[in-house]
Amino acid sequence: MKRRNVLKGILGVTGTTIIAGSCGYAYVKNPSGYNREAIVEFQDLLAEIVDVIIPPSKTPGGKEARAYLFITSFMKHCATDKEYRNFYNGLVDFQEFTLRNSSNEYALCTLKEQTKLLEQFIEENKSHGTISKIKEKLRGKSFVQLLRKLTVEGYCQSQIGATVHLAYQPIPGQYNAIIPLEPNQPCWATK
Amino acid sequence: MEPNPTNNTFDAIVVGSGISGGWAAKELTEGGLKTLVLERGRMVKHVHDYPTAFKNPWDFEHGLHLSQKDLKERPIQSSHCNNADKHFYVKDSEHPYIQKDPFKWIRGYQVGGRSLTWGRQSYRLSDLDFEANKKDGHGVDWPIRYRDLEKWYDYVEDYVGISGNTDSIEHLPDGVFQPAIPMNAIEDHLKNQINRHYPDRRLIHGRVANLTEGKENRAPCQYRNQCSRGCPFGGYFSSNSATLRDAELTGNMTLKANSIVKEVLYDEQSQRATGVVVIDAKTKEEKTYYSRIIFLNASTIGTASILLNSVSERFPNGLGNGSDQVGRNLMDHIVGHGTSGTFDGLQDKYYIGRSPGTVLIPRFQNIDGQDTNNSFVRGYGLQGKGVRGNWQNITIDSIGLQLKEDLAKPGDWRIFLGGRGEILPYADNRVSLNFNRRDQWNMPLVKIAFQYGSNENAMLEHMTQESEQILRHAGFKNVSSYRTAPTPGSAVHEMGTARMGKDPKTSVLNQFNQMHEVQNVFITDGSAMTSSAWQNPSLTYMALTARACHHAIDLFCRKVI
Repeated sequence: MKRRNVLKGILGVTGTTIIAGSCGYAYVKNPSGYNREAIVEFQDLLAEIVDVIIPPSKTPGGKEARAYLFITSFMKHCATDKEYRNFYNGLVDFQEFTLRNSSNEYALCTLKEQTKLLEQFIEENKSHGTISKIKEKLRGKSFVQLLRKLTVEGYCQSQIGATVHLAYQPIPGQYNAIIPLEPNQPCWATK
Repeated sequence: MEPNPTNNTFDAIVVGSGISGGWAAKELTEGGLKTLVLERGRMVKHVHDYPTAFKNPWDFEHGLHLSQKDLKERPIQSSHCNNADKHFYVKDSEHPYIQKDPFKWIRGYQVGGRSLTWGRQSYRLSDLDFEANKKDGHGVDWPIRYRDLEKWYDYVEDYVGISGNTDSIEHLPDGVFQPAIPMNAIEDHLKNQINRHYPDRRLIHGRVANLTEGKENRAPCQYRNQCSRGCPFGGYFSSNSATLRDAELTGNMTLKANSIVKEVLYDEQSQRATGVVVIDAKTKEEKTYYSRIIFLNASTIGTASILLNSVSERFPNGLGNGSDQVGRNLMDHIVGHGTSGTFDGLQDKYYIGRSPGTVLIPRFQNIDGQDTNNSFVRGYGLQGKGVRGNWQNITIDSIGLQLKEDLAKPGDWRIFLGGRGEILPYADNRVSLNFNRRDQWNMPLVKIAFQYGSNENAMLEHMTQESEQILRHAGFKNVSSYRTAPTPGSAVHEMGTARMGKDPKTSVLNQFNQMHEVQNVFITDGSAMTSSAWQNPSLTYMALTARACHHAIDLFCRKVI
């Protein structure tokens, strides 16, 4: 998708406020939490992002585990208005950031490039110390906080994450309270 | 089977099907009484109506998080439930009440009530508790002592199935136990450290109503730690898995769900209660049922509100309320700030299975001159649980392969300690009815007034300081108390609104949980409690219920009532 189409896509979905970005690009932010369906438009981008946060290795990554479906569902149903707004706007910002800093659409970048872009973005949007705590109270959890937290949960509680990368027993049937930890034994997915 | 469908008359009526109502149903029907059990909520059939019991984490679209819609429907219950068990908690939007002061009234309106979601901690009271009111002058004296209840504790423990250890602690009497759920490495470590640093304290296995050995029709605990969804194996005790089932097998029980008891009817001439008026929760139609014996087990606040709404010429302020104590002396347990700490060692130890068990540091304050505390009377216990961290505890400060690797590593050991403390009976902590505001069944709204006194606040501070000190002495790091103390009601241990006592002028029930002023009405839920003690109370409700039922059956057979 070219940048123009991306913008069009966003405009088409939200049709709300147009804000002038700091670098001159026009992009659209969703100012309220009522149109929760709009998040679905970012599902493909989120699929890329979760695969960068939790990449495939010996075990599948975030994309194959479909961690992004948990994120969009959480955003649609569970997020507070503040959280939804922060997350949606964060995705808009991130999309804009990648277009500004890369010649390729995010999905077409190499994993290395994708990782670098996401790391840069996280670095630039990091909040610090007490200011961030006050900010969080006023404004709700930030995009970066939400993104990492929800990706981890979405992955670890997915079937692939829980049963392939971690360990999960639906019906343990027994409780061995003290056992030696085997080398490389993965941790339990649920408590 | 409906014993007398034509005239709606039974030998006994039990109002409520939760943990004490289930026991009343079982004991009365097994005693041969044709018994009507009324439940205001919907039917929940054991196994069949546990829709989430076999769901995996990924079967929930947004995990265990409640949705914004859920939060709107359950603004009060939401602190106690999640996406997997919310169906066993009422929608506050449908069941409003008035909080004069903040008080969480956590409810489960269904067959089985809160026995489906209870914490399953089962501890006996001792004479330290039964004598406390008399000794320090708060509230009125209990009309019973430990010896009166001992055999009934034996009786209900044997049936319920409590896993626990024989610990020989005088103020926490041992009982009839199945083998305890073992302690894991960190719990064992804490136990040893407490032995080393505190000669007056112990850490013991929690005594929980989870089976470690099977019973008839109930399998041992499968260590899924998903009890509050309902256990399809019957691994923990609930009315649904045990008492109601056995009551049904007698053929003497008629169980009616969706039946809201509006009031208890009183006959001036015979000076007896004659029956109850029931509102059909769905059609809102009223119907009257009659019986010679009535057991109120509608939960502490529910029972008080039924009594207060049962107005007659003889009892203008509510049935059996000549003492003006009905609704008063509402107690809960104080829940502490919650303390946790992490531990660097024992990295080579782990566990298999998810334990529903806990550990307990029994009360160690104001006992026989030990740790005598000047800032408060009575005491508290500390309940704990040790686990190894997982993805839920990780600080996420990286992305990529490193993060992914970290997610799979068992984290540090950690322990949580939570205080549960005794609340004194105060006359002004009370349940009343606001007749000007009504719910959809035209029932007056319950109003709750509740405040901690200086004794409770002093205890709260103490339990937090001691919890932190215990963990520090035991070598834990990052020791901190992680929340403000939860709102009263949060222990979900409401008690005291129709207390037992010797004197009809100052209490509502006699030593057999019989109303002083209406002999054929028995109350054996939490409202009967004369003091709250520090122990989780359900086991005591069950023992009181079994004892009162046997007394009632005896009176019934001798035609005294």
